[in-house]
Amino acid sequence: MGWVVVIADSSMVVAESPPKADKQQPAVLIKGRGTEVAFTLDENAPLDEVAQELDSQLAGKSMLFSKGGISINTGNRCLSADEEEEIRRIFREKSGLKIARFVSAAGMPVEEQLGQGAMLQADENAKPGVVEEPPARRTRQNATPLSDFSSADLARALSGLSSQGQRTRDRALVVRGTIRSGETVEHHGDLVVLGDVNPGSEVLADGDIVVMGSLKGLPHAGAAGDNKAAVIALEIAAPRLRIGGAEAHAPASGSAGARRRRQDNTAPQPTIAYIRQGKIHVSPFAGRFARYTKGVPYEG
Amino acid sequence: MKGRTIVITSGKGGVGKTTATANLGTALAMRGHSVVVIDTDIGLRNLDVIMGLENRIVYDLVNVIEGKCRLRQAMIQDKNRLELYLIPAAQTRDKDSITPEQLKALCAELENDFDFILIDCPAGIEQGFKNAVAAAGEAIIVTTPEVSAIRDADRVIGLLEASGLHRPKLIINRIAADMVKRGDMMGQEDVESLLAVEVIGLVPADERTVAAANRGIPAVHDGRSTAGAAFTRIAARIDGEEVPLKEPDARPGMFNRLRDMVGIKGRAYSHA
Repeated sequence: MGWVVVIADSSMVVAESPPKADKQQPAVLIKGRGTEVAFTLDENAPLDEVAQELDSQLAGKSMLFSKGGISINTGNRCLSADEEEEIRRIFREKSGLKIARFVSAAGMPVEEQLGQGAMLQADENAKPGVVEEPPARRTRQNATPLSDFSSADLARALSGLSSQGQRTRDRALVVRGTIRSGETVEHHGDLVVLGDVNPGSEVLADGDIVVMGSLKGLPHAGAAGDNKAAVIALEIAAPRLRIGGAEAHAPASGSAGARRRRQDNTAPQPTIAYIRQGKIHVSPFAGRFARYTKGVPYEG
Repeated sequence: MKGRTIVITSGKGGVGKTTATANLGTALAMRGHSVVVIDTDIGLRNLDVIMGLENRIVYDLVNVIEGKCRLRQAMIQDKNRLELYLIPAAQTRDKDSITPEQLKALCAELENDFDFILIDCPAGIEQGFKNAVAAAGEAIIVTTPEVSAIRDADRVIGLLEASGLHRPKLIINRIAADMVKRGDMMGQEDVESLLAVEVIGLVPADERTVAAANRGIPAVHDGRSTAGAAFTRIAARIDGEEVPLKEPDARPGMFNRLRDMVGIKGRAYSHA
């Protein structure tokens, strides 16, 4: 078995359990999803309770997990460096799992340490053979909250919602760096990738997917069934596109369009994929932007 | 002085990991370093053949790890008496015969006595890969300019980063310059833009590499091998020397050689 990618997300719980049933909710929920294991850490429980629970849940289960790097989504909780270290220690000692990164769903130091993002911050002086410590990560204190440039407004605008829009979702997750083959990034909100999404990878978001690079992996925007979600990328070269409940296949590489583009050798241009009348449309982003930001829904 | 442990990996098989390991090991030793190359492809060992040391194997990596022999007993010195030693893989065992921790401990021990420890990683991303990667502090990815090899390299880069090995370096092997020129093969820029990692070497497709491997003499010993020369330059770069990347030339004719000598910058051919 390969590396286990763990996505522990508080919003999953919110979505799956009725509100106020929280009293029965254990502070730590371990759930298998296919080859993945999700650790959900209750974001409202005090941290020492979570730590204690985690400790006892992991004890004796260490054989169940293959060793590897995992990522922890802390939901709306914002961990201090000490608290992170504590969680890290528990996982290390009790399961042999190593936490490659912490991500936060909402509070905002949303920062995935993938690809170049990680490379940029990797310790150059790291000793050979030492793979213990993850690269430095930005914590809430020194991160710029997206809200500084009114991400709420932007997100609303980008998702075609009016200000009293009924959809509620987490804020955007920003992945800095390339998403590589075999990697899956999943987020209950909008997803922004500052890099390429390479072939063989998957990006899933309940909201929109914005790729500031070339999108060649498999995207699923509106993964929770939102047909108003969109996929935007500097280049869409994905073999399949999924938005909400719809799916589209890229035209065969031998098609007229593909041939024309090869011949013209035109640079790829920013592209948007959206649903209109139940079908996925792929168009240049330039002309669509006004319509998009005006909040005109594509569906219907 | 503490040595550097570098894993040479690719994901896909047959792209030249073992050849690269043999050549880089030899080239680094020729630069005056003490080098150990470890074949971790247990069950499918090849590095010994490429280095021409097959007949001298008595003990292997698994023997060392199981404590059946001393470390030094399993280390086979290079034919040319360079400060270059091979620890061969066991042929009759499998990848599960060793653990990442054991290899890590072995390399940590070797780092005290040698400048470079090169680990030849098996193809795939299973146990053998995990063993090889655990011990390394740096990684070199070998790929060929083919979509399948690049896809696998991409996957491996992701796995390396997940296990804490950041900034892997890339060797693009078996570049056929005339094909690149015709637009039938990806060039350096194409591969670089796909994988977004630093390229440390461009190795031309060179028949002499095959001949050298068959004779068990790494191509870096062959003064006329263009691939050998490329590996020598990569070794210099690993050593921290600034050597500009040299694109394999489609026409190593008189004019080009003259041009290189005079130092006129020719128009770089485009990959478009």
